[in-house]
Amino acid sequence: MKRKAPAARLFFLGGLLVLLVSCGHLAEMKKLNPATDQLLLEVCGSPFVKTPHRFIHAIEATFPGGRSATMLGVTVVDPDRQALHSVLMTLEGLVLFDGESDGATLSVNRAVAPFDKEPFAQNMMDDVRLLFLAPASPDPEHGVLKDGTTLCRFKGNAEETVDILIRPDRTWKIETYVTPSQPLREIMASKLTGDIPGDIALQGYTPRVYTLHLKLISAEPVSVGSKPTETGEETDNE
Amino acid sequence: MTTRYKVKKQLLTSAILLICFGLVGWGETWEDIRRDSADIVSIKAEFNQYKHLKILTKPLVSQGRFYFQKPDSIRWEYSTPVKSILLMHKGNVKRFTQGSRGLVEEASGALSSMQVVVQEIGLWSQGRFTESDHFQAALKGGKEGKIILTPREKAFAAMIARIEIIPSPQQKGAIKSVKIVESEGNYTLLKFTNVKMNEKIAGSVFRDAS
Repeated sequence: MKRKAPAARLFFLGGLLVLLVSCGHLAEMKKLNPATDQLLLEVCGSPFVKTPHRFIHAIEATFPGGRSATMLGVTVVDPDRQALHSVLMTLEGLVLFDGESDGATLSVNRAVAPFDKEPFAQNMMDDVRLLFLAPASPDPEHGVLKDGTTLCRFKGNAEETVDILIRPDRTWKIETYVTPSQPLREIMASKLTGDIPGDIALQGYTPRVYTLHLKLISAEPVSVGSKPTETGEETDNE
Repeated sequence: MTTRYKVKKQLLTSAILLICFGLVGWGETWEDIRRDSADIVSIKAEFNQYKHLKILTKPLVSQGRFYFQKPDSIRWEYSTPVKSILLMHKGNVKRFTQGSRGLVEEASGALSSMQVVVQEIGLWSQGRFTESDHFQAALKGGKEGKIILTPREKAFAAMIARIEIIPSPQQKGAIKSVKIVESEGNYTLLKFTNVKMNEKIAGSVFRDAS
């Protein structure tokens, strides 16, 4: 058997070390106290939406076997009400899914196959919630990794743990898992403008493996209850 | 994503395309439309697509261009917000979309179903709306004439309530707009500009995504 060259071995060991550090979260964790750790709590919440916003993304979904599809997604987020309204459509504008969730209830306004199955609706809205709204669980824990990354750990639904990692350059990553060997979701955000990421990559592990790449088309604050304009911009192009 | 669903989705996508060049020629009756359409061998145009949703306060605008060459070659291309190209040529259908890996062909087991749609395109491009298996056509007169298409099949009806097509009052054979109504408050409006008919279009336009 051929021996690995020293450089290759060093590269391999280095990679292993990075993997161990990043996966193991070798940080000393302490519980955050809302009374005294307000600043840290704000850092932990920085990936999430603070005021009502509307986001439009191009979404590239990839499934096992390399099958892929690109869609457009519109999401209105109201953090005060913990409310989400999401529409998924084809590039040609045909609506595939339209759902609303306030955390407690989920209502599907429109869904065409295969988006009409309840597990899809629930899983999709859970993903959207994870992307835009801070976990509701009290008493998060906080620590700092060796590379300066801030780690905030929340309890999620059931036995889930939600880790939010904020790098020194303010790009962030969210990991949810049952145990470190049972990952559920991994989200990485980059190309930030303010706190809003231009690119988001979501890796799902359950109920099956899939990847979503979200490219931001627009983000704008909204006033709750604002009505659509009938003519919009189309008259400009007459 | 099931194959059945993809077939429906692709059919609906194609239905939009059909409309865009199916209305070449315009007349008072179906026979007039068929007769006028017989003279059209190619079309190229730019389009703006306005997606209206209750969740939006102003429409989401997409832009692109399309090309048609008789008998059944089509290029339907979006430039914004996501670059995407659908090519139909000699019975082959391909779709390319700009994503994280560049402009790549979308893998789809349902592409062959598009070949069925291409046959439909042949009908529509000749103004033979009443012969479509997928839509029932009604010609409405009045100040601003229009064609209203309603789905024949439940699969289509679940996604599209009706399609309204309004001809261009200025340019014979061109259309002013196509409105695809999904439900109350949710619709897509396509508006065409720089419509040019019977100009030579290179064959590569229908073969190559670049």
